[in-house]
Amino acid sequence: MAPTTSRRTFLQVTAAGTTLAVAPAVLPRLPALSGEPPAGQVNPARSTPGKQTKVLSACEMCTVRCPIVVRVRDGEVVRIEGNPKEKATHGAICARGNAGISLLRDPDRVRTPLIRVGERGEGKFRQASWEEAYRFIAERLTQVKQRYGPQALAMARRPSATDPFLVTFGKAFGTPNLFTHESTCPMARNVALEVSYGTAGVAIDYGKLDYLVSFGRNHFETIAVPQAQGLVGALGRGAQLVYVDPRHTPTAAAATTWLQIRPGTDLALVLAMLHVLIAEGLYDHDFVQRYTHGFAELAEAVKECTPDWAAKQTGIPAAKIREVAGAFGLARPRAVADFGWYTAGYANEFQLRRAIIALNALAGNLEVPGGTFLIKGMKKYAAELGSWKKPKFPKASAPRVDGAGVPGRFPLAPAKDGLIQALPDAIITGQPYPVRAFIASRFDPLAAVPDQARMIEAFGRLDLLVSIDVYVSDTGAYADVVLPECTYLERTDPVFDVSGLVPKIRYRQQAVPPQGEARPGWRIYKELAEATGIGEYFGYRDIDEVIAAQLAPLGVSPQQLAASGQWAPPGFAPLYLRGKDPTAAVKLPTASGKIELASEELAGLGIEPVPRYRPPAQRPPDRFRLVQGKCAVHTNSATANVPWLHELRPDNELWIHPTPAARLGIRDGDRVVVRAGGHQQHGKAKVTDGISEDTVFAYHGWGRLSPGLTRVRGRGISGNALLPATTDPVTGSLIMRETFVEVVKS
Amino acid sequence: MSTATVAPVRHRYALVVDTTRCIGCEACSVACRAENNVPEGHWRSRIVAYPLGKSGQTRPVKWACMHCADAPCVTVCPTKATYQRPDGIVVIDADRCVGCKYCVFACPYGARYVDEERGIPDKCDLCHERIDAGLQPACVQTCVGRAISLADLADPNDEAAARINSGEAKPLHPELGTKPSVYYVMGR
Repeated sequence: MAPTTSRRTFLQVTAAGTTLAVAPAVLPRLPALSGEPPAGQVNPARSTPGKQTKVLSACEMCTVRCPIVVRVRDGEVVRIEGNPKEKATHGAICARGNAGISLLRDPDRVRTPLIRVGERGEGKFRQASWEEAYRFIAERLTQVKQRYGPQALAMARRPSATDPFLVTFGKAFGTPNLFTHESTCPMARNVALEVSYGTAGVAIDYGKLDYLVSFGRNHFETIAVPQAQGLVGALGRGAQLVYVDPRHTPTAAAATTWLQIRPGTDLALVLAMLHVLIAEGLYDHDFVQRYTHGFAELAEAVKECTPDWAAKQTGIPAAKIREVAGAFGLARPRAVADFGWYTAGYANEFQLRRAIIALNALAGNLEVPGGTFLIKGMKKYAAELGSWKKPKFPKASAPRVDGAGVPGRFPLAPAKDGLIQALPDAIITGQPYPVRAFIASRFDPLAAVPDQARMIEAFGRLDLLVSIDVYVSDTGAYADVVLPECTYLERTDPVFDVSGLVPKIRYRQQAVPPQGEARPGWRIYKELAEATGIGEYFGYRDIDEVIAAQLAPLGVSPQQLAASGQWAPPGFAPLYLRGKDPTAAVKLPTASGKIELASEELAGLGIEPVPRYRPPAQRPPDRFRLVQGKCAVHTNSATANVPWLHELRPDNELWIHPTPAARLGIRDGDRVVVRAGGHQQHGKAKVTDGISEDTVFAYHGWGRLSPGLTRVRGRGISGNALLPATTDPVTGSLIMRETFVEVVKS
Repeated sequence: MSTATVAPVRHRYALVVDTTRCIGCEACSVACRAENNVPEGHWRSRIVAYPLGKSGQTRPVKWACMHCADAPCVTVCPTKATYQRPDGIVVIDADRCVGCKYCVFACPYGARYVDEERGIPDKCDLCHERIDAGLQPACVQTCVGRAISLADLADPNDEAAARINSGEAKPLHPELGTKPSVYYVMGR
């Protein structure tokens, strides 16, 4: 649009979801009336005036849990703001955090317990009392336990502050089969960190770095506010961001350099960067000697990985690879390669993350400002949080059904997380043993986990399926019982650890009474345990008692915590172990006590001890690689139905490059069908050169099934209805970017 | 006679939007709706994909009322319901508004919508009650990239105002001649 010089021309600008109202060109000049304009008036709709209380709390629109101030008037939430005292966010919260009120008020929320009366998936329920719902669940659980053993119960959740109650219930019941969603998201990265550093608790000092290479970690769209704000600040200071992604994201737009890499070849780029750093001596020799193990093997492994070789794999010119590697080496130690977050992508993902860790090691950036750091947790640097008193748990009745953490199966996969994608097979085949009951807690496996059809089939075989959620989710629509949990604004949660460079705790404080009959997790699990005969593990009276027990070792009173919403040891300055002395001792919990560039643990398991290249799966002609990702205004599948956020982005689209689109006769906005593995999804095409020619992309969270999600049901494309549930044999992570789909105009 | 000539101008507010720090996350859009109870289906402020020249490239830009010093909406209002406060904020007095919608059509920036329920136009008022109470506008406070700043041009020490005075921050489409009070840093 060219600038204009006439008032008759009105500006036309396109908003993300809608077109802003732009008026036709009429500019009458009416005679002005006489009279004084009135004095400043107070807009009665404004949330500011009136007597309000402020409740210090923590957000839960995503898992980052930013500190918030909830303003309440007459028992209603009038505003949610970021806590201005938090230095990592300066009072900022994202669009999702600001939309908490919209979730709270959503008429689609489930407000009473529901018991299914229709077929699974129909979404037909009758209202029930809590007592009846508990009795129903407890009877079925008892039957399952008697017939098949306690291991026949599986429970899954997205990690949250409610975890202690769910985990206590599962362990008290005697099942080892507790799942999180981690294998759909960061598991490959976390296992790589565990193997290399001995802990997944390693983070990046975004605000102070000078050079960041991000391999698809899309900071400005997959937003963690403290990280995004830190990185914007660094870029404002002149830091460089090299962003590697086949897709043009908001992060690509903000980057100093965007490298549109061939999908799945990032490992070749990293190996070539390691090659350049080593060949040109652009690494921290002293750091490598003092703090790493297996450098010689790594150097040998990347000897042949020249930029010219990598250029053939990645499509990035060799000169560019040399330039980026050189600049990274010169910026050390404030040069960081991002570990990533959503890493359930390619079959080579684990070795990619290991190679990225090696880049950081060569930069010598561990425990210096602007580098990487070990999280300074409460337990080690302040005091371990207490817990309410409970009897000793019974020994789990069997090894995990999915083999997570089990020798000979998935020894490296974290047993605390499990492999949720393995659950349908166990339910359907009864192997290695039967699973007959499943409780999903604010987690929607039908939306979140690939091979949706198999999951639906598995749900059909269960004796009991329970969904504990704020909505009748897709999983909820198949459930026997739906229990209405209150939103984060209606409940107090246990204290949780949010340590970074400083040990720190935060908690979530109830701001308003629950709507309908919704109850908090701490109460649901306690009451369900009492109905199931394991109530002795929930000996607390209420959440206040739980928090008092947690705080007891700290010498912090609940009142102190309530007044600030968070707590850190007074006077504890951000701690960099090598901040003053670059030779200071940093003991890592690995076999060598150092960063394991080469890992004997891996070698012992028959896995490459150092990263070596493995190309991504080959694309058949006329097929496209399907890639999913997040948009800035939604949290995976959790918020698609939240009214305000739905209004900002009501649908997803299939991104397709103009060249293949033209070949297929697809124009921007056309309806398309996407097919894979006998499944199909219908959606709308977005023709854009912001995606590689060989790839199609869709935001995750649409194509929903539940009649309870009135706004998003049947809208857009569900990637997980198309993808198979392929598991990485090393980490247990899902592999979600090695599937090829057919696209046709509908 | 307007109040501005009687009382000394103690504040002259403007907004500086540093688009080089904007990540386009729409936190400001939603904070604005929550703060001002903007009805569903409408927004006082949105992020738009603003075209950079003719290259086809765009940049996320916060788009709302520009609080023009020479505001067509003020000129066309037959009842003076829309007026400019001495501090520069263009506001609407709902009690005086007769719902003629001239202002909606007059605004070249398309910054107004009609609240069907109340039958009157609405737009950004810079959260002036918040400013009067010593708070930042909702969009400023919530901004993830810290890209939005409230400037006071009457304050010689105001850092955001300095970015306006130095010419670093400029209005969008000054050729429309309305003298906007929202200034943008477009950077590289």
